[in-house]
Parts: sequence; structure tokens; C-alpha cells
Amino acid sequence: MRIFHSYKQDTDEELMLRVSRNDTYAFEEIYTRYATRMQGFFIRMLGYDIAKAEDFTQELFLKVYESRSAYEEGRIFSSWAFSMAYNLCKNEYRHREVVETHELEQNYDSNTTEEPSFEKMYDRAVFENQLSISLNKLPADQLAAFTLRYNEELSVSEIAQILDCPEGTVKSRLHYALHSLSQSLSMYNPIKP
Amino acid sequence: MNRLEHSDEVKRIVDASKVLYDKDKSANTPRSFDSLMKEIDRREGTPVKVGISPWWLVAACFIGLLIGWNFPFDKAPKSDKLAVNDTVYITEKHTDTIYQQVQVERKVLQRKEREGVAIARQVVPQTVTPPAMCNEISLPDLKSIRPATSGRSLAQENFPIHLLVSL
Repeated sequence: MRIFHSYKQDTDEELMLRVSRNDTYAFEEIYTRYATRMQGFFIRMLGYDIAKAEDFTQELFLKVYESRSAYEEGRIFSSWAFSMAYNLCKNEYRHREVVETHELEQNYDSNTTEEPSFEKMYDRAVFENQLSISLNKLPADQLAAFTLRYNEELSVSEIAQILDCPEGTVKSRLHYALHSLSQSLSMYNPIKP
Repeated sequence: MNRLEHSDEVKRIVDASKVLYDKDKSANTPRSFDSLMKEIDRREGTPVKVGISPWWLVAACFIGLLIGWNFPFDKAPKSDKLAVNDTVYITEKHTDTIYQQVQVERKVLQRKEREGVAIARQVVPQTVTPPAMCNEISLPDLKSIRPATSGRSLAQENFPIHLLVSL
């Protein structure tokens, strides 16, 4: 009973065990804790498509609820949820690849990259804008590793679980991501507050 | 990897990306939990639950019990209250128009006065209007219609005399 028990003190794993016993209030607590984080992850991974990120957040929690009985006791919930989220993103990328190759076949003169003007280079807003563009240009696995490591602040071992790869692979992805970001943003020098 | 992470350039990028990430999260709140549960119910095909909390039902039953057992909500003495078994007769008093009896003095007519009245009845001529004249008589004389001091027109006041003259 919810009145006699507060879920605020419970860990994610304890809550998930309750959810597996069809406890809706525990699921609500899980949703309250993770919905914003997951939506932020989807916004970053889906190229700032807000509407799609909302849909994916709902879809993810539907999947969490549907597969509640498959949740293994002792598994870290955040890793489990982020791995499901990443799989949803991978499916979306596959779908986009099909669409983009079809579009490229029809339109092959879309290679127009503009060099920013000298004044704009010193603008912080422009730097942030360029950063988001550079992040979007990263390969999906590097972007996921970067976001989980530096924005969600997860450990390398957790990221390895989520991305279903060895820790060394995660480190190399992070290295490549940081290298390419520093290269693409080296010409920008924002005015520090 | 460690050297790259600790360089100023990368630190700046990581900090900026964190700010951007938090900004995006706070600017876009996720959908409500209720909408998610509705979607789950829709997919699972479960009927829509009635939105009445069981606690409200318990409260309603409790109030019903209190009323049913004649719980003393006020501190009035019990003798003043009506018991369930008491029989109550309701009488209704209705007052309508009141008539007052008034004594009226009757005049006894004298024999002479009676005869005078009878003669007067015989003397009054009976006016018979021929059918041909009816239209003429009933039509008012527009020229003679003038307001009188009494509010009635002169033609109306003179009508019986007018009729007799025409005969």
C-alpha cells in the first residue's frame, strides 16, 4: 500500500522488483526519476527532434513496463533502461539510413557547408550552436558514448553494458569523439563569462 | 585518453555540452504519467478504470453509517429529538377570505309608492327600431364627436334622445 510505504527511499532496483509484481505506484516513481533523463538522451541522440524524443520516451517506458517480468534481479536499472533506449535509437538510425540513401539518390548536390564569419566566431551562442551541429555529425556509437560518459556521468563499465561492447571499445569511441569534436571546434574561441 | 580529457580545449567542450544537455532537458518536460498509463491500458486492452479512489468510497460508507445510526452530531438533549418509531401527525390550517355578516335595514314600500312605480313602468315608451334604420343609427356622427367634460363624446350622451327624435 502506498499510504504506508514511501517509494522515495527505495533504490531503482527495488522499485523495479515492485513493478515486476504489477505495482503501478512504483512504476510511477521510476517514471518520475527517469523520464526527464531519458528524454534528454533522446533529444541528443535524435538530432534535437523534440516531438520524436517525446514519442521515444513514451515508447521506452512502455517497453520497460511490458518487459517488467524479464527484469533480472541485481541488474542496474539505469544500464538496463539506457541500453533499451540506445536500441530504440539504433532502430531509428537504420530507418533513417534507408530514407537518406533514397533521398541522396534523388538529390546529390547538398554538400553546402558555410564558413562562419570572423565576428560570429567569438559568439558563445554560435559556439553552442556549432557544438550541437558537431555532436550531430558524430557517429551514433560515439555520440552515445560521449553523452553517457560526460552528460549522464556514467562509468565506462556501465557504458560498456549499455552499448553491449568491451570497455576498451568504449574508451576508443570516447577518444575518437573527443578528438573529432576538438578538431571541429578548434576555430571557435568563445568569450568566457 | 586521460591527457585528452584533461586538456583545456576538451574540458571547455565537455562543459558546454553539459550545459546544453541540461538546458534541453529542462526546456522539454516529458509527457504525464497518466498519458503513459492510458497508452499501456489501450495496448493491453484493459477497460478504463473509474476515477474514484477507494478511500472516497470508504469515507462515503463511514458517513452513511453515522447517518444510519443516528449519530448525535449536535449536543441537544435526546428527549428533544424525534425517535425513528415516533408517529408524527401533520395538521394544516388554511385560512381563506373571512366574511362578516352585516345587518341591512329593509325599506317597506308604501302602497302609494308601489302604485307610482307601476304607473311609471307603463308610461315608459317602448322604442322599436325598424331594421332599415339600424345601420343609420349604429353609425356614429363623426362631426358631432367632440370630447365632453365628462370624457364621453356628445353623441354618446345624446344618443337616446337622438333615437327618439328620429322616430
